[in-house]
Amino acid sequence: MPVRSGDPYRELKAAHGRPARVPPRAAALHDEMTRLAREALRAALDITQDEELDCDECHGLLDLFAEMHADGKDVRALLPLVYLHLQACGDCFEEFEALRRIVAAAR
Amino acid sequence: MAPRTSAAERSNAEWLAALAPGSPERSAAIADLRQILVAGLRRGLLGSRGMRRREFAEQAEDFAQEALVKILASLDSFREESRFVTWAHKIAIRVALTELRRKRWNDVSLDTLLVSSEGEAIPRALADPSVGPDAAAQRAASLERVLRYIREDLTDKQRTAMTAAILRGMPLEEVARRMSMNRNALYKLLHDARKRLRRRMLQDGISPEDILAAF
Repeated sequence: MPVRSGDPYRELKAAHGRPARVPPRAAALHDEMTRLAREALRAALDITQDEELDCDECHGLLDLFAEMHADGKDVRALLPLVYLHLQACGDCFEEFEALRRIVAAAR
Repeated sequence: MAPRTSAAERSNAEWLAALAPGSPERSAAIADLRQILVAGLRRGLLGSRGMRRREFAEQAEDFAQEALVKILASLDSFREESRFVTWAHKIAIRVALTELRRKRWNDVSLDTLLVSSEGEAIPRALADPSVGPDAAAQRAASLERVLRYIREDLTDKQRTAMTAAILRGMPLEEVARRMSMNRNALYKLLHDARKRLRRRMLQDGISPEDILAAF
């Protein structure tokens, strides 16, 4: 089930779990299969909506999302589709993480 | 002539005016923006990806230069919903991470990922010594059910994408490149796959809590 900590960033971070090993290690196959099953279920049942933003649409709003997040605004309520995409997409979440650090440092 | 506004103090309108073709401030504004982007890339990416500081310092200059070209070519698409520099950092991050992902995953083929994910998983799950026999059996049954849905309900392309992106954690960008698609199209493919799985689970009356509890 999704983590609800009150902090949108922590929730998004929790949604993506630990970073992938590169290259993947065969010895961790069982862990990875378990992760696949968990992720598939979580994605299929907890996150998936009929209509979602794609990566380009999310990217178009990411600067606004990062600034609203830095301002302490409720990004889950104000930009729910961006938030949802960041839960589902590791690439876009990684880009948000980097932008978040930069914006936070500029405040 | 009035003194030039410092880079940190430029408003969005001032950035756009300074960067416009023909502006007397253009060269200075480009130099300022390059410096801001390099500092941002270091802050945003260094430390999070296990890179050496010296190695990344050179790369950051290259990424910033490539990003500058994109930024200057797409100034018209800046909608002023954020500070200009935040928008510019967003573009630089995409440029940098695209290249870093490519280098990081350069030697990993989709075939390697897919072959090692076949066959062995269920026996290993059953043999997991860290849980008791009942829990192990329940876990294996739940795992098998999810894997069966993935096998039966998804197309080959969806299964390949889901295995590489979710099971192996390969970035979408890299999976997409290997499947001759762009990242956006791959996201849509995965979205359709997730919808199929969700539909199948709902059809079978599966409670996510019950299955997740088994793991």
